[in-house]
Amino acid sequence: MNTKKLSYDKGIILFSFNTPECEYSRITEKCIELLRIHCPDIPIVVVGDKIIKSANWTILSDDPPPNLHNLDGPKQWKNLARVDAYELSPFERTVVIDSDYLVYDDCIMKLFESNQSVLAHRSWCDLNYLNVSNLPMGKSLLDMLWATVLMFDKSTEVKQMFTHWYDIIKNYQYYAGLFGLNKRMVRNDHAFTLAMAKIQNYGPVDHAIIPWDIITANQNIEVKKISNNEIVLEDQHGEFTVNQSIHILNKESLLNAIK
Amino acid sequence: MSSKQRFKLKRDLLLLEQRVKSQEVFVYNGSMFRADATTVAYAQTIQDNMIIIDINKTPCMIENADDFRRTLQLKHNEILNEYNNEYQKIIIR
Repeated sequence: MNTKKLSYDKGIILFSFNTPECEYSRITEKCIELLRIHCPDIPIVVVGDKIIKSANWTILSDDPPPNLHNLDGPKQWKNLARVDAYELSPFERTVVIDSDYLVYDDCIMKLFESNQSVLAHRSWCDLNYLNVSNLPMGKSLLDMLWATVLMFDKSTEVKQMFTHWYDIIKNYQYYAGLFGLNKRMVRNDHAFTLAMAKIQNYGPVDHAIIPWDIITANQNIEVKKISNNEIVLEDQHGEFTVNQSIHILNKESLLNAIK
Repeated sequence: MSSKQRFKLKRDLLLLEQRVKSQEVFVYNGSMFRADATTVAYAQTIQDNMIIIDINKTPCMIENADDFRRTLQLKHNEILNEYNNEYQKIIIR
């Protein structure tokens, strides 16, 4: 058996670019630490502006075009390299994960075992409002797909989808006008959703849905304490503990908890 | 019980429900299935070499129905045991 070939069959890619406001490399290191526990033996590649020693490889890359997120005042956000994941991935099957998605279970392993060529979350669970729903994309009738956890294979169709994704980011103002999106902030989730819709001729994408919700701690929820088994969070209702994979939107508090 | 305690109880139960929802999914021959009561009941009707539809609406050939049922039942029992243990911890708090 060729073990070298096996190790390149599947893997995880993380993107990590520091900004003046946030040292993403620290968050990425924590994310890798958790992945090593809950997804052992899966190689991890980081694409970023700084070598991350705990990753198997770091692909050093120029900064992607700056983006803005304006949830809590305008801040720089270097998240537009995601679309290059197809070209940069050394794996036949790749799971791209946001570094602020903290893995506390082995669910990602199920994505590697699936027959589908693309898988992403559609429904989200908001821990602040205790609500599980699909988010409409802008003013359209399309449900947004989350690009936070994205599994893809190397295939002609998937490559085509990434080409659409790239074109949509390049012409984001046009698509933002067409679908009623925020024109000031390029959102990968929206570009990915549109790329998937285009590849399916705006038909259903049910085959590409991860069948559990992406658990999300929104900006109102602060990270109080983080360990390798659980994360303690706090909002206006008090403290609570989560021991399953979770997407943390309040990066500042996450970084403080890691430090 | 204060409103904060009620909210905490509701949130803990939601998190438990979410954990069950993610953990009960299992992959069989590359297709994803939910190890819930509906699938357990449906699996009793499956015979060897039958096609069934997975969560992602993709057809899947079940070559060995007994093996599928065994895998499903194990997963179902495992997740219900965990649900019971965690549920008891939450309501005692």
